Amino acid sequence: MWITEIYKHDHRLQQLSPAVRALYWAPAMVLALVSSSVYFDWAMFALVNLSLLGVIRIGLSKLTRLYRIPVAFILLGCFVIAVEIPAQKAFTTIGQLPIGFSTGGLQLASLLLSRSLALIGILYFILLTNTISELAELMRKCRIPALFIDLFVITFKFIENLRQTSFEMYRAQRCRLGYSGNGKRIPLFASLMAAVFQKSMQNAKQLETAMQARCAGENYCFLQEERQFTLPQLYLPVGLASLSVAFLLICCNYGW
Amino acid sequence: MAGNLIELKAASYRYPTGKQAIAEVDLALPEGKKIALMGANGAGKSTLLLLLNGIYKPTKGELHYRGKQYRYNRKALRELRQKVGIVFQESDNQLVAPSVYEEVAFGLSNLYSDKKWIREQVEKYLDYFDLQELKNHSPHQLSSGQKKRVCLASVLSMEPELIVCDEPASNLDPQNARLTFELLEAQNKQGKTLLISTHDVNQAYAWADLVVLLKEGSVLSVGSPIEVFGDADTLAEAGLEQPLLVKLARMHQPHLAAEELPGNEAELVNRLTKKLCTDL
Ligand SMILES: Nc1ncnc2c1ncn2[C@@H]1O[C@H](COP(=O)(O)OP(=O)(O)OP(=O)(O)O)[C@@H](O)[C@H]1O
Ligand SMILES: [Mg+2]
Repeated sequence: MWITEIYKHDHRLQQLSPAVRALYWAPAMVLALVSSSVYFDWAMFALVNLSLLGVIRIGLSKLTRLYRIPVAFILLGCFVIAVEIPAQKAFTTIGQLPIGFSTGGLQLASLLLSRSLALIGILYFILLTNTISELAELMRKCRIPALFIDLFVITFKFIENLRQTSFEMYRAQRCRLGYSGNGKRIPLFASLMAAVFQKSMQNAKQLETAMQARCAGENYCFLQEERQFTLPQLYLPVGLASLSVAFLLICCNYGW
Repeated sequence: MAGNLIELKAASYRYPTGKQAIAEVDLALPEGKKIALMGANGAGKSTLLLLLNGIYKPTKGELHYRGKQYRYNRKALRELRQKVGIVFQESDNQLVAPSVYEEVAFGLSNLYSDKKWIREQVEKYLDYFDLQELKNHSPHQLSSGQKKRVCLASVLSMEPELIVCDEPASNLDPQNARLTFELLEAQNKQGKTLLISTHDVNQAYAWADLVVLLKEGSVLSVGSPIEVFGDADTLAEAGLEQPLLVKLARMHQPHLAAEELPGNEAELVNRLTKKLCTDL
């Protein structure tokens, strides 16, 4: 599952310019970063996912599938933080070692879990409401050095290219009844990886040729469609941002 | 009479792998004509087209654009690539932008800085190629025919003098193939030179002003369609079939000379009915 596969060009923020769109996610991101409240982070996570469902109109099952891999990594990380060896309150012992969770570790882990989930949600929101060129353009407007922008775009494109090629080749091998016998899997997988790398290099090369043929410069820059700006476009994001700030202040005030 | 747009003088190209793809080709492409480049798979058509655009530099020989030799520095290449627009065989290898609009604007924004003018130009070509509805779509999520239209629009919006198409009809359905050729035809009417590589002999016979026959990197013959397709032996040597019209005409009159071949379907049918009438 990859972002560009489920990216919908007709999401509800389509008519807004990327700068206005940024008003939806930038405050959320800043708040999620500064907050040290678990409740606020969970609320933010919920809000972001609700708006993903509403704005992108992505199905719930697809959304949950998007979280599978990051959640697996985060849980692993949180587990490592929460575990204490040797523990005061052990739930099991291995050999002589008592293993358990420490209270401080558990608190830290739960904060980490909620905050990273909120941030990942926001990241998905960004990627699903902006095309890669719009993001690059936005970064350029924020005076981020061109080197970083190019690096970002190239990484994105390279992953996309690899994913596409490997998917196609895997499918072609499946169609020829590869991966059916148990003993054959590993060598087939190895040859798949080799072929994938070669093919993606070829693809990248051909793409470069085509870009050269149209006088491409060094920078990955595109001219986007012009989008009208009106004041009412700001009401909703500013309103949402102020509500979130208020909620964060309440959380801090009561020490939640 | 218009002069030659591009001339190749004993041009050769050898891939870094050592494969000699183009060997000592002498060729002149007259301005304002519809030229078909024909040859079997692997004859070197795509390589030749990339040479014209300055993507590949000939390992031997020279290329001339309007009488001036190609120079492979940055500025000259930029100018050249604006004048020679190339539409690739595989649309997927050409589509770079995340949306159709940006794809069409891509070449233009590399060349010019006046954004307002670029926007007008993009709108014009979106209208012309009937792409307004698709303008926010991702080009990779389109069908082959739509992708081809996007590629054509993105190259033609740069208003090149020579339009080079590598197999414009490959994997298009007959209707879309016809549409593509009609669009190209309209460009030719506006004075653009067209160079199209194809293995469709029927299409080339009916459509081209000039046919270039390639085999293993060298030119076998150049001439008008009836000259080239009338010569069955050379055609067979190049690994191509005779066009259906030529076959039928020769079936009817086995020793028909090349100059007497019918130009189109109507002419052939006329001849056959006339023969039928006189026979009766
Ligand atoms: N990147 C490359 N490296 C090495 N050799 C190549 C490369 N591309 C093409 N060739 C070789 O050059 C020759 C000409 O290839 P080219 O792609 O120009 O043929 P073509 O006439 O366009 O064929 P087709 O009708 O299949 O598109 C072929 O023998 C091919 O194997
Ligand atoms: Mg080819």
